[in-house]
Amino acid sequence: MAIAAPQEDVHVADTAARTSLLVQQADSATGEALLRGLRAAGVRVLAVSTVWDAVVEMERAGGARYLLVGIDYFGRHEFRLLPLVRREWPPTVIIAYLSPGFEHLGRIAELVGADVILASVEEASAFVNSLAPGPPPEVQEAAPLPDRMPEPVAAEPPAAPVAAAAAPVIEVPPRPSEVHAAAVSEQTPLAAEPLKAPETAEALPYRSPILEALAHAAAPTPPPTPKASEAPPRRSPALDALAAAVARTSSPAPRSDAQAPPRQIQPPAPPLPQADEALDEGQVIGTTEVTEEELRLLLGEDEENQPGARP
Amino acid sequence: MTLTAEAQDRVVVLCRSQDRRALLERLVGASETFPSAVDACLAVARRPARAVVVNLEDVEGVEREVVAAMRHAQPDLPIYALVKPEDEPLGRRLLREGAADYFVLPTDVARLPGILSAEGGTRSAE
Repeated sequence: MAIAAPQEDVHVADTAARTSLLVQQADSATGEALLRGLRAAGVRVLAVSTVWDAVVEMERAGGARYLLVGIDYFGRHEFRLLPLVRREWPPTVIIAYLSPGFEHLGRIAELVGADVILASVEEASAFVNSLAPGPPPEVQEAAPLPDRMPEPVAAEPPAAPVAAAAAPVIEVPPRPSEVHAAAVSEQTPLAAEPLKAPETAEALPYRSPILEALAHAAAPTPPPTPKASEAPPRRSPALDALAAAVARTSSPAPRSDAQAPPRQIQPPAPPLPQADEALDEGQVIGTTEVTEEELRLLLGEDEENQPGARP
Repeated sequence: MTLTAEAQDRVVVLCRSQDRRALLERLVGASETFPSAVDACLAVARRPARAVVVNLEDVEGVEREVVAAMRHAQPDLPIYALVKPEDEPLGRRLLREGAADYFVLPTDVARLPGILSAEGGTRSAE
C-alpha cells in the first residue's frame, strides 16, 4: 500500500480561512463548550459580543472559516447577520447554536442561511470532534499505482466493501430538497425500482447529521443528484418517514408485470408532526434561499410604508 | 484624519422609513442609505465615510450595540442619531456613549446639514 503524502489542507490557505468567529452568548453552555472545544482543537477563534462586532471583524479579516452565532436572544435585527454573511462571504460556514427551548429560532436560522444548527452541548462536542484531523480516507490509499497494479483476480473483493469497512468517510450528501425531490419522483409510475426501506433515526450514527450538514456546507458546489439506488443514507427522519410512506404506497405494485398499466398513485401528505420532532432534535433539514422581502415578512417587518409605526 | 474626496461626500444613513429616508437624502445630499444595521455596519467598516446618521427607531433595542460597533470600526467617525421626542433620553444616553450628536424629529433635524458641513471642514483641516 502506497503511503499517502501529507496533504495540504486547502481550507487553511490564508488567515481568513484559518480564523473562526464566535458571537458569544451569555449563559450559554453550548457556546462555552464550543469555545473551549475549538480552542482545544487548535482552531483560532475570535470571540465577539454582538453581531455588529461580528460584521466589523468579518470585514477586517476578509471572512472567516466558521461563523458560530448564539441565537437564543436573536431578534429581527440580529437575524439579518446570517443572510448578510451568506451574501458577502459565501465560503463561510454559518453555525448557529442554541439552548434547549429555543428550537423555533433554529428554524428561522435555517431559513435565513445557517448551515449547521447545534442544539445541545452534545452536538457542540460532536461538531468540535468532527474538526479534529483524522486519517486520510481509505479509498485514496486503496488505489494502487498503474505500474504496480497486478492482474485482476476474480476472487478479489471490490473496493467498495473495503471503503465501507474503513474509517467513516464524509460523503457529501445531496440537499434535502433534492432527496425530497428524488423521493417524490419515485412515486411516478415510470419508476423502475421501489425505494429502499427507510432508516430510522436510531440506526444512523449520532454525529452523522452534523457531519453531513457540515460536509454539505463546506462543499464548493452542490453535488449532482444521485440515483435513487445510489442515494446516501437519509439524514432526516422526516424525510425517512416520507420515503416510508411512499414505499408502503408503491410496494404492492407488481415489479414483474412490466406491461401493466401505470397506476395513479396519490402522493401522501408530508408527515408534519414528525418533521417537527426532527427539528426538535436540532437536525438540519436544509436551507432555503429567501429574498429580502420574504425575510422582512418572516421577521414581522412589514411596516415599510408606515413611518412611525412600531413593529 | 484626512479623508479622501470620495469619503468627504459619503454619508452612511441607516433608515428604513421611506419618508424619513427621503427627508435625509434631501438634507444630507450624497449618501448611502441602508435599511438594516448589519448592512450599515458593514458599509462603515468597509470604506471610510464622512459621517453616519442613524434613525434610532430602526435599531430599537440594539442602538447602543450598533453605535459601539460603528465606533469600533471607525473610531473617528461622527455618528448622529435621529430620535423621536419621547426618545430624547435615549439620545442623551448615546451622546454619553460616543455619539457625536442627536436630533429630535421632526424639526431639529434641519440642523443636520450645517453640522455636517462644519464637521467636514474640521476633519479636512485635521
